[in-house]
Amino acid sequence: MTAVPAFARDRAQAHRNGGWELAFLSRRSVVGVVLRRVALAVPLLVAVSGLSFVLVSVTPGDAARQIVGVNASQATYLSVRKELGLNLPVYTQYWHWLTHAIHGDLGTSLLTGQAVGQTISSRLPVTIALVGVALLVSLVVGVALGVASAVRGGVLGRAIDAFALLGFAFPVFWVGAILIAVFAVKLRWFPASGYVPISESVGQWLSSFALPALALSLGGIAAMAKQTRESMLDVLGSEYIRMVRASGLAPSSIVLRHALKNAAAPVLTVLGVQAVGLLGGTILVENVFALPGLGSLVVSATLGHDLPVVEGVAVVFTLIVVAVNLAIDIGYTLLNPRIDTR
Amino acid sequence: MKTRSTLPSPRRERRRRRTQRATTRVATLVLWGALCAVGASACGNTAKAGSAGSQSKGDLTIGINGPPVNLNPAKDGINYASIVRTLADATITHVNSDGTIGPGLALSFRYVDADHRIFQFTLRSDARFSDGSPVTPAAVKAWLEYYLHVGGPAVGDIGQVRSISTLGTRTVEIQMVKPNPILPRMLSELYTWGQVQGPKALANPAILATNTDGAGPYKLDPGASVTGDHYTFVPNPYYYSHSVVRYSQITVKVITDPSSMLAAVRTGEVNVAMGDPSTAAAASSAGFSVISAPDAWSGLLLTNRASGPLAKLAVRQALNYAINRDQITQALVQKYGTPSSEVATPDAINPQYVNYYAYDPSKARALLTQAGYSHGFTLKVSEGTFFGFAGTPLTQAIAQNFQAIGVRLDITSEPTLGGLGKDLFSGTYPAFVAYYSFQPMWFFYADTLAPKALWNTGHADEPTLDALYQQAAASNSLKLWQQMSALTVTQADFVPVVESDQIYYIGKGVGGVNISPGDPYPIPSQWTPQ
Repeated sequence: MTAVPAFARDRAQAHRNGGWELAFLSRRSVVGVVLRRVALAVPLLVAVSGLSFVLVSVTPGDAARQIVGVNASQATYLSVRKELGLNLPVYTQYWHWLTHAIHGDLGTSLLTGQAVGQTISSRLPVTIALVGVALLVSLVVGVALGVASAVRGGVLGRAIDAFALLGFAFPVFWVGAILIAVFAVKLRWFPASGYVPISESVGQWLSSFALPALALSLGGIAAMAKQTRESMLDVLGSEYIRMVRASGLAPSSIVLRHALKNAAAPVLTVLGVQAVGLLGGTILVENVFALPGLGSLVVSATLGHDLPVVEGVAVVFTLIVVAVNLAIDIGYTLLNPRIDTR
Repeated sequence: MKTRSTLPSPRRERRRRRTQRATTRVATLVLWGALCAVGASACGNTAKAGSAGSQSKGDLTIGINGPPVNLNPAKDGINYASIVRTLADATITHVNSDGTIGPGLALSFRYVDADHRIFQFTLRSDARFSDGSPVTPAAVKAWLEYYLHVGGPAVGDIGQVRSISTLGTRTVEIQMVKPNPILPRMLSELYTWGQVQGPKALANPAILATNTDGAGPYKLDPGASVTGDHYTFVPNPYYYSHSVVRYSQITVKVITDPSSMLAAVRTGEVNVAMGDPSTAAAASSAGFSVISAPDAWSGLLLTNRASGPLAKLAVRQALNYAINRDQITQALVQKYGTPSSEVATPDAINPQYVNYYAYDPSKARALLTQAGYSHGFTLKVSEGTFFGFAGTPLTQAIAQNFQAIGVRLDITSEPTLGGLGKDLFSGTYPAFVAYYSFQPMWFFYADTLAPKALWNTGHADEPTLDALYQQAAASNSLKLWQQMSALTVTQADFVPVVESDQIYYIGKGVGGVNISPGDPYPIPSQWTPQ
């Protein structure tokens, strides 16, 4: 009995109680997880935004010099600096930003004069879609490779292991450049740059994401494959699976329904880590593929000391990370209500 | 038995497998649908790639390597992104592709005094801003004054303006405190002062953050643009010369990576692109027309020539002799640049001084010894890493050459313009690695050589040069400008290394793209579909 995974025991208990107890437990746990995560998000947002503010502020130079240029006199520079409030202590500047942000006003870009909310909303769909597609590709391809490697082993297993190593080793911008050279320039299958909104054409929208998502997901595929393989090998060697085999079920059913489900929790953890990592990867990928996302925006904003934009993007990225973690925790809870996600 | 009960029965398993098969079939159908959509789109790309990528006939896409800092010309300096603004903003004068200045919004223009202080221009009567309001002398005066008032990055380059006034129904007069012989040039596309915006925009300048209100052939379509990424322009229905509006839509796409830019040209997604020395050979091999023209010089700006080792002429000359310009030029820009000992200007360059300091490390060492620095010295320099080849690669090349004569560089690398500005105003750096766009000698003197110039932090004063400047500014004599340029070479006021080119790749189907040293930024309204 002790070798039977917790998930299977919970299912058995749920069967005995007509499924009601499990459903109730899951709902209660999910609500608790959501409330805890939302409560934790508030101090996290303050900490991240504060840290970003300080880091950009201590970088040599400021937006005023960026605006007036190097050739402007010191008097002009100081005047613009005062106009932008950059002469105030950093904590005062941050407090001003925070009080406005709480009311939903993320301010105005110091360089372009455009509202930060507007700037972010025009770019957010690109980054979300890019990360989403890349994550999906990582999940589907990575899990498939991991399962195949664990089940077949041998040459295929070693090949997948080697692919995983390469996936970790190749830098994303290099992979992007190679993909452009082959699939955009040589074969003309996909565009080399740019983004087509989904409202214009679903096909072209998918097409514009094909190469960036593939470049971005390569590391994720490797990580998922590796983790899936390890988890699957553990589960496939367990007493529970031996007993399932003894019950006469088809091998594919054993692997996909029983083993994979029990191996899913560690894979889910890697998925969460990957999602956060992919957000960072968008900075490079968006530049290589000239996509109008938040990654390319934060690079130019940081170089220009455009604090309101940097802060806005930091807040959005933090919210995405919180949302991803929340989704992962909910996933844990649904997979196994006994997991304590506090 | 309890354990057995936790396992699925074969009957339940069969039912589950039937459901699973159905689910798999649906998922497969969905996946095929998605693949077909991507495939159809990919085929579409292939079909269009030879013409204009994803554009319909009459569309044009231009690739630039960095966005404008701000769409409001008053808040932007002179930079490579001027190509964006020339679409929507007509200028008071117009720079021709050979660098000469001709009529723009002004049908005629002239200095009315002998020493280039009072400048008048007469506006055409049929020009209108994209909001439909007419281009009047009052509107132009309001713009010129707004520009001076806003305090943007280029306002200090103009010089002190005494007054701006309207004369009669079509004429505007600008009076300068001191002579400014390059006002016709400053009111053209080469600078931002002449890119007049309409009164409606000036009443609420915030709208210029995301829109345009110029009198140019096109106007921005804000709904189809993403600031910093791409800017879409559609024809301005009020433009006075419909014959130059040859495209139904022009998109300016920002692509910062040179390899990605070339790929976009090769796939036909971009028709005309700003190039880079690192990809120019590949573009040429791929069959694209590659055009280039000198647009900047790079080297060392010696900002403190009044104290320390750089105060001695022999030291400055030694630094010049120590530079292997041929080798550095070949390494950094290949054939898209020229080694030069002379600071490049469009009006004062004196060809006989271009190779004045031929590479001679022995002579450099002898000059250092003569100046009392036989063991060399350490020179503190600041560099902007964002200048591409003229950033760290050039700095390292200079450092290597100087090391051979015992001069060690103490380098501060600044990743942002703000950092470079901080170093400049700290007054502690006697030299900067510079990437300096071609500017007339009048401009260059005011910026780097005048005793109170920003880039003359040591306030070095050269009376002969100052006297020449006074005469040249009043007379705008080419001979005097050339004498000034020669003097900066013989006095080794700087350590120029290379004159580099602005490069463009021209895809198939576009004609009329011309550039010259006088105007290295092509103007899209002059291009024609082919």
